[in-house]
Amino acid sequence: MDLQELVRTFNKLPRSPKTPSGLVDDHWHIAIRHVPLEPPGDLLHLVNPGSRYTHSEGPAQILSVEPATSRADVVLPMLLRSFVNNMGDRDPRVTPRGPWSWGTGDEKLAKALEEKLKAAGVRNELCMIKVGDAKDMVIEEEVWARVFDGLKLLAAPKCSQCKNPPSSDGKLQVCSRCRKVQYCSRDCQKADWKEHKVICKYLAKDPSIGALDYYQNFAPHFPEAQELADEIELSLPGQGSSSHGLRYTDPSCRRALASWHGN
Amino acid sequence: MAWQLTDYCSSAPIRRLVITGKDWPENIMKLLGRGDRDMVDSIHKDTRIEILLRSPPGSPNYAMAAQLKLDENCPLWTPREASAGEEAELRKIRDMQGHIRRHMGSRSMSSITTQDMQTVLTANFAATWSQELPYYQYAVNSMDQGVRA
Repeated sequence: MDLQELVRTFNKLPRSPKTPSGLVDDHWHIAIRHVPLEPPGDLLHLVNPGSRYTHSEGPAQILSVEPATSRADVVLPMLLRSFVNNMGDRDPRVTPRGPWSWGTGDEKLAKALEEKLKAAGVRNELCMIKVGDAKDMVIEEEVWARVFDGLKLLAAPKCSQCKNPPSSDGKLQVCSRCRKVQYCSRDCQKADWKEHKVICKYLAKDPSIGALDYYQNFAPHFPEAQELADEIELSLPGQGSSSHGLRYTDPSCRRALASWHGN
Repeated sequence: MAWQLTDYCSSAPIRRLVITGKDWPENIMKLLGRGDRDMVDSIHKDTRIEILLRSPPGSPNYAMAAQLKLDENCPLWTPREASAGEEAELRKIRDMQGHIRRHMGSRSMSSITTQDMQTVLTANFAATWSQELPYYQYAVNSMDQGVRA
């Protein structure tokens, strides 16, 4: 979607002063966060301070881009896309919403973004970005700390069985068949085999399968998954129900804002 | 390997396994494979607590599950009994609900705000309030706030 189309779509999004729950203001704090993982990159981090609902867009190279107007060129489509794409919620029954207001702690970025928003034709009410709300900035810091901890955990190699990182003098050893899972010792590999063998042969075919991909694309074709799904009366993807997918969202924030989806 | 923001998700298949008491590791793997294990483990833990809380109608948890039809065609709820660890977590959440009810007094739960959250947490837990935040979130989202399903 090019920028013009993105702006047109964004401008049509419904908005209201409160989130659908009616509990908190539909205000979003914007921050750019560097993630020094591999490969390093920056994220556009959005937080609704009232609910602590969080969404990140990226990674992209943002903080290294100078001057601020060029940074705003990178951030603008990411910002609009976050709302147009409903913060990554793929449930077709949840309507995307535009923000009522937004703010940031970065004065230069705010000024540059305001100019870009106006130039791009974004609705007038959203061409103003509130700057430096200390409370929102503190909340964003707290939320980011939690998100970053999660990212670090994901990025760190660890034993699939005991979940410990490799000892300082050793490396993790990968399963020679699927080359997907890693173990710190032969004992851990042996201990995990009973569970791992169920899936090893499938992972061997495509070691990059994540839980979501597996559920959507593989499970429906495997008799043992089908049998289990029948037993618990669960429709696997592609079997006529759209409600049984995985939805990516922060569970703690989801709890805090469960009715966001509900209304 | 590129990192991705796939660290959090909620899952209807895990929910259904938990509700039916069939949330054994091998069953979870049958439906979700072996990848993203930390994420899946975390969702499983979270879902167990959510289900064991039995959120009533009017609670955000209940409304969300109803709106998204997470429990469509769901058999009878027969979750496995809480482990000792889960029992301790549930007790903390129920204690937190007590704190919230006392704080709200005669006010309706539907009027609860983030200011109430701050007051409940700081008044009852002082410097350790941030450690109690997850329990607050579990507690408030499993209480009847008049949220329409």
